[in-house]
Amino acid sequence: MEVNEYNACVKEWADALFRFACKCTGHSDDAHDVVQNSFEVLWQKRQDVDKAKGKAFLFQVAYNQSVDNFRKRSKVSYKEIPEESTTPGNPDLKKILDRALSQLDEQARALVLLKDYEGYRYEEIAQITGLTDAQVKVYLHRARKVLKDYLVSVENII
Amino acid sequence: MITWENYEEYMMMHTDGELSPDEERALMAFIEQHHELKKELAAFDLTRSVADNTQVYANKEALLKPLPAKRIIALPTWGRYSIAAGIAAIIFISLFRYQSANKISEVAVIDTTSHKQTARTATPALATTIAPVKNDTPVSVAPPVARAVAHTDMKLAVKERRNKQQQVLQVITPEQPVVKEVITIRELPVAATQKMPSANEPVMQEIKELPAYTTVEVADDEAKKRSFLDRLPIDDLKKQQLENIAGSFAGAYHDVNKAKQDLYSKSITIKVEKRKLIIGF
Repeated sequence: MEVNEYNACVKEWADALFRFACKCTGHSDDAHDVVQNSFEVLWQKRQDVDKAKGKAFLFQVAYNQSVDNFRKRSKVSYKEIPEESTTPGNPDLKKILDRALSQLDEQARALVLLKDYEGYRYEEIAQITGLTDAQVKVYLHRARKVLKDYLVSVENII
Repeated sequence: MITWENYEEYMMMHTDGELSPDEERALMAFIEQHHELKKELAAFDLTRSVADNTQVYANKEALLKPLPAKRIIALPTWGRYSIAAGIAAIIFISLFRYQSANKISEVAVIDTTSHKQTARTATPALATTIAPVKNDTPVSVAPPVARAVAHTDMKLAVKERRNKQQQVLQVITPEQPVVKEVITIRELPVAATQKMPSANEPVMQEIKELPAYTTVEVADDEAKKRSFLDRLPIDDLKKQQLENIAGSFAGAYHDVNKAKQDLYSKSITIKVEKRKLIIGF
């Protein structure tokens, strides 16, 4: 990968990577660090990475860093309390879905985001996360079921 | 086949967009049969997240890397190009002509045994026609080719040529295949492309390829002469005089030889009453 190709990757994928990192880490500052580190790794490994695989490489690095951040935070036993209150009469579905996503563990959330945000197929997600296709399918279905149950329960409350 | 046991998996794959068109149609048909599943399918559809495109990475410019500075190479003018091309063309042509000259060496040999004249040339491309030769026409011998070719076959040809240095060329007419004239070849004949004198009509000659050869012996003879004169215990003036005498002698010998050849072509006719006596030489 040449310098101009690396710069093209920055312009093309920095925003998507930042959104993915924000959802994975839950913090904008952490997301900035993840994006910066991901591109730094890409720059160092640019001789071994083709431009066509630049996006997958970036998301792979971001995924690994997000999982590491989650594990470090787990040792501190930090847990964000989801907001249970909703706007009466006019619930914002997107916020509800964000809260539902925050109920998931780091890995399941990343799988959902890679699937919904970036549209990767099971085998592509497997390559990024280092899981098998079957694992991706099973973990993703479990996450879907959790999200669906959460949305249904909120809907019942409303 | 979609059943009550696996319909949920199909619904989640439908949400993930991983169903084939046939599986999609089968799932819709199954849900049409069981209307109570429509709400569950809608709930799965709600779990699909949509990216917020308004959320962007602010400090994108800091991630960019500077491009390496481009080297600007000033192109020379067309005049320089043309001069360089001209020099290259001159060198190429000189080399080509030098190589071509080294390859060219020609010999014309008249084969008397088969009543045909045969032109042997070192290069077949140089083969050409030779005019017919009359009985009394001496064979013209062209000046030697003073070129040296360093090739093994050529050296062998030269050696063979030395052994046949006293080769006799016989010119025979079809009507009278008698040797009329003998010429001693001291130098390498060339000029396969030259027409023989007294040509009446052109005859295509059989062409045989002969390896190229050189006339190194000419240079060798000269060198031998020089070395012989140099070795004589006399001063340079006498050497010069001796060389002049030798040249005069050679000229006289050439004249005598020429007169002899002319004599061969003459005849004396004596008429005695009604009889004619012809004396040929």
